[in-house]
Amino acid sequence: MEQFVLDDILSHLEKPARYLGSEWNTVHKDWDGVSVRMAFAFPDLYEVGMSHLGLQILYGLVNTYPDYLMERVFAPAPDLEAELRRRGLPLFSLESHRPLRDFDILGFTLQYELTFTNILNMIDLAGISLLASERSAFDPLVIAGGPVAANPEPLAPFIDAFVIGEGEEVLPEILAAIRQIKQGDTRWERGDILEKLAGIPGVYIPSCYSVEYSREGRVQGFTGLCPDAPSQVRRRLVQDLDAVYYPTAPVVPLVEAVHERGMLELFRGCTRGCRFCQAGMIYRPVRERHARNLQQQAGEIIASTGYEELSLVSLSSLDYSDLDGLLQPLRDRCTRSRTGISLPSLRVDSFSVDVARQLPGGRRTSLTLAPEAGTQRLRDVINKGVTEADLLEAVAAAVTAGWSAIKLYFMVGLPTEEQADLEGIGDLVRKVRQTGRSAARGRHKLRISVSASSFVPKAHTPFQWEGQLPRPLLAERHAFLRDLVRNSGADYHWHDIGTSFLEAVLARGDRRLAAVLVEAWRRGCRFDGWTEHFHFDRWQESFRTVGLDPEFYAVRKLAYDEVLPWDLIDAGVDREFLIREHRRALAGVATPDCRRASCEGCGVCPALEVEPRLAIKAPSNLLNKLT
Amino acid sequence: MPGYRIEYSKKNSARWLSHLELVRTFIRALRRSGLPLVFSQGFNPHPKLSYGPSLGVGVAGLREYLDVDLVTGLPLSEGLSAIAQQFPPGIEIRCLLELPPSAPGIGKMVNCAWYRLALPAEQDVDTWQQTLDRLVGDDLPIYYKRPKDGKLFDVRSALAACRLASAPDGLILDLLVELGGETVSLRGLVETLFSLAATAGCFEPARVTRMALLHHNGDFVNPLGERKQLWEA
Repeated sequence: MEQFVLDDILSHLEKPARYLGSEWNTVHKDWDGVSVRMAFAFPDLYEVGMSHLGLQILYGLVNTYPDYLMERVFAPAPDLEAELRRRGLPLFSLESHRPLRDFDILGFTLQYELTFTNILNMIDLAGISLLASERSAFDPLVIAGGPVAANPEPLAPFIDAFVIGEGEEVLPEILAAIRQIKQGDTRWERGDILEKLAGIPGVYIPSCYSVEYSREGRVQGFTGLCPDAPSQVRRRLVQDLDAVYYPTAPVVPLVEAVHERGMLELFRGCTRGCRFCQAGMIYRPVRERHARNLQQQAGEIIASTGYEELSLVSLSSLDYSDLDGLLQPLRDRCTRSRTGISLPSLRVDSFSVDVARQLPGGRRTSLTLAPEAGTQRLRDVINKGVTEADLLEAVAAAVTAGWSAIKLYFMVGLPTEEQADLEGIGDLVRKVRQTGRSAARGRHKLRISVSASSFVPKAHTPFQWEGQLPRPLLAERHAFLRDLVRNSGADYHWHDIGTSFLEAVLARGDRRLAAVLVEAWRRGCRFDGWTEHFHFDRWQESFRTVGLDPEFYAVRKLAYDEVLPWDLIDAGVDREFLIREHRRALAGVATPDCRRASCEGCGVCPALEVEPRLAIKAPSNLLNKLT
Repeated sequence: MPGYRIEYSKKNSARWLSHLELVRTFIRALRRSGLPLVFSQGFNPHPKLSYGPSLGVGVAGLREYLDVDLVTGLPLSEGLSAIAQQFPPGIEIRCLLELPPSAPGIGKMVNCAWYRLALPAEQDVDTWQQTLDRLVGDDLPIYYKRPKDGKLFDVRSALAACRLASAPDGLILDLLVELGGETVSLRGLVETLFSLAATAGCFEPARVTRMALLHHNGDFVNPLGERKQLWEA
């Protein structure tokens, strides 16, 4: 794009610096000096995408290869979209401001179901056919990966290839295959390119399968249409995180991002086994990095970015087995450079509050704890191993350390939830307030706020067969809690029910929803995860036009013997394990943490030929060996 | 603790940074430089910096200033090389000056700004010359009404000097604008000039460059302590 055209466009936009592509640590390569060119598309605003670790990992990784380049593109804000459409200009990458169509591969990251309309919009703005079946040999390959690829079906007609699981190894394999094709003598048909990719483990080509539906509208089965396509596509994962690439010179955003900090990934996977949590299932088993490796990375990140804060990101960071080995040297390093350390979430116990208290710059005004359910019974159902004593001790520790505000996360509409569980939330709030008062000893008043989301059943979890509560019931329960919590002395905020409902529809959706996505997009739906842009009425019209009932997807309880829309994807966890966990949930029986107790036989290790990897063995194991 | 003044320019793609975005870019660049910065106390220590008057989004600035305190003094060349390479494209560090202890901070020191506006092509030189002559020849206020709240600003009193000049791609308008207090915005000033000239045109930040920030009290002095003539770079 010519500079004067770009300048003219930028002068009409809010936060034009989003589209400069000249941030610190960006990589600008000679376009003609590489064989394969990929655009990483984050389907939300710059401010959201630049907080995402996955983007930094893949951007940095691909650009380390001399023969490949990767540039970024984010969902254009409505003002940029209007300018592009008005001028007839295509969506462009940031680093070189080139049309996305010029790239060999356009790759989307799937982080949240409510970004799907942004994906359609970006494909359309790029000048690429929405339907994969209508693309020519000259169109880029449109691929997508990330956690929501665990159930990719609603996007199936728009995506040429999905990448299932972790990208560090499989993405370079895809790029190598494309390079081979490009450097060959013959011109490949698009279908042949896809067939070649189908042979790469972890790559799911939707056009290689057709889906059959029963009379009642349930998925009945799948038929493979390509010889190389496996009956199930198995997730890829990296066994040794110490050996794999990690970005220690991440791109530093120019426009303020939602989270602006250096990130250290302590481990992937989680051993807690909370039954509602998809990430806990699809990233198994736990694989930790060694403390000295993390130390090294921390120093490099601080030096290469100048960030004010380093964040220890992992699903449950304080479960890391070598905290002592990590935190002391890290604190020293960070104190020297005046860098704060933060934890995105805290385990609910006083130990974690204690750790948080001692982190430099770590004490902010508000502390967040996530009990998720109001009674022990329900917490055992969801396998969230938190007791009331844990919670109150954590609160006492926080208040004593000087925190003056506590935020509590709960979920409404969990399976088996009863009135007593909702009242339990009120009890907990009252006890938290009491504990806060005693611990503060009149020094300051503890402010408590409750944030409640609605349960969304997710694929590959023990709760995948459970339905979301119908919206009127959710509304009733949130209203009840709002009054209860406010009378107990705390604020109450809850997630918009319409967006939670749509999330549930798409999370358990099948390919037929693709038509609804197109309708919604045509009606102007974008940025559905943002309240100011969410138009529930347009979605309802879209479902009606296509003739599908959204409640069928969100609310319906599924049977164990049903074929699930995501059965083509093998996340590695045995179906029998999920069923067992579901039954235990309904019986209110908890399952212990496999990092500390014994293996529960989820099946992921033999299936994926991996094993859990800890930085150090837990002391109790060591003791057992000695005695 | 020794104080230093950094002179920098903000142009090309960097012109699109807002003041806050520029501030954050500076903070991180200084942190990366390894210079012995002085940090504030409290939970979120940040380097102690003072900024000159903010520059609007899209407007370039050729000679902008930032004051920074360091824990210990260091040779200027060393300081300059530490920071020169730390900035994204469009931000260029021009020089570094050690401030005498009694020197006023950049915010207090500057009281006027020289803006250069590249007029759109095919603007008529006579129309503009007459407009400027009218402006300087008269005493009566010329008002700009701010759209968001209807507040009135006297444009004539904000404009200390102006001139028209020729450049290869067209006419340029140099404006010396008073800073401090609540004066008309740059946008308001430019829109008023276009309407006085009765010619089509609107405020396009990409056409505007802030050439200098100055202190004037009869003479002109720039923040590096250099004496300058009017319209002297």
